[in-house]
Parts: sequence; C-alpha cells; structure tokens
Amino acid sequence: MDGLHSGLFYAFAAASVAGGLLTGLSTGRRRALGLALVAVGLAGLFADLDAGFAALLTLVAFGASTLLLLRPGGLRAEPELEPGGLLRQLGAALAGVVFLVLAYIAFRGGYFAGYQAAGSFSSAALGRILVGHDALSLEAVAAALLVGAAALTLFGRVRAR
Amino acid sequence: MSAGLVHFLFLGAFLFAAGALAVARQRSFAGAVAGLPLMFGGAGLDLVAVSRFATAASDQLAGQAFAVLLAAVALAFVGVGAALNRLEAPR
Repeated sequence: MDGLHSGLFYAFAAASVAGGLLTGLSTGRRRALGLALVAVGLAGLFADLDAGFAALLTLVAFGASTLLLLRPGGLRAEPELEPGGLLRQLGAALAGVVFLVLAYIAFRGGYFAGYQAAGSFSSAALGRILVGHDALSLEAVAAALLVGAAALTLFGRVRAR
Repeated sequence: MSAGLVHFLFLGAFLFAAGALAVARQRSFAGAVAGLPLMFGGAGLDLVAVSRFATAASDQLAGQAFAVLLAAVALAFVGVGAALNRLEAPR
C-alpha cells in the first residue's frame, strides 16, 4: 500500500481500536459511541480496501446496533457491569485468549513459508486456495459456524433467564 | 510504515476479541447483541484483507462477498436483539 492508503489505515484503525475498547469495557451511551466509532473505522478500512458495498452495509449494521443501544429500552435494560460471575469472567478470559491466538497467527502466518514434495508453499498460497479456489464452500462452512455460535450464545442467555 | 496483510489481520483479531468480550461481560440482550456485529466486522475485515493481499486480482470479490454476507447476518442479529429486548421489556 502506498503512503496515502497506509495513513488512512492507521487513522481508521485508531478509531476502530478506540471504539472496540469502549464497546467492550463500558456501558450506556459510551458503549453506543464506541459502536459508532467502530462503524466509521471499519467502513473506512473497507473503503481503503476497495470494498465499497461492504463499507456501506457495515455502516447500516453498526448504525442499527447503535440505535438499538440508544433507544430508551436498550439503555434501561442494560444493568451496570458486575465483577462477579464465574461464567462472565471465564468468557472475558477466553476473549483474551482468542485475541492472543489470533494475533500470534497473524504475525506468524504472514511470514510462513515452507517446502513440500510438490514445491514451496506459503500463507499467501493457502489464502489463494481457501478464498480463491474454494470460496463458496468456505463461505458456507464459515457462515454456518458463525451463525451457530451466535445463536447458541443467544439461546443460552434466553435459557439462563 | 506501510500497512500490510498482518496489520489488517491483527486489527481484525482485536475487533473479534473485543466483540467476544462485550458479549461475555454484558447481562442484557441489547448489550450482548451489540457485541455480535463487532465480531462479524472483525471476521469480515480479515476476509476482505486476505482476498485483497493474498489472492489473484480476479478473485478479490470473493472475500468482499463474504464480508457483505457477514454484515447482513450481523444486521439480522441486531433485529433479533431488538425483538427480544422488546419482548422482555416490562409492559
């Protein structure tokens, strides 16, 4: 990426990181502000990657989330954070572990290169296979996994009540 | 320093973990559902970045299509969260 795109990346990344921290660690209007910051940052990053429609849809999705938090019912139904609760603490710790694992994969995967009988391969070649050749099957499996995980989370909360 | 694939992957990982943290820490439906678009957004950013940096020029739309799909799913979950929040609100 050239200098302009790199500068835009760092600006929008800073907005996304600040918004992510606000969303994860605060409540109420600060949380809504965090979501709005992430919306601007993510949409800018998508636009920086020449994915204009994804940027537009991201703005719509995050804008709806922000409105959901800002409406009177959303704020009223949101209690203050409590430090207790073994499951919540376990979930927060697991979120940290997930971040560490993904960050390790990002740093190591970018510089990975090896050799096999058929020749050399790298993370870029793996990306070509997954996203380029088998894009449809990868999309189907990953979408099923993500939707299932999110539905399980919501279902668990419904049952807990 | 020029931004590359690793930078985007690192940022996507952070957003995914922040969304997971938001879902885990909140007790209300509205609070928990608000973390889901963050997780979907992080995953979509990684996919678009991989399709931009690690695939041929003709295949770049594959990752973008998946990011659009993820944003639509996140929007659907926001709708589900709004409905659940309305259902549990005292009349």
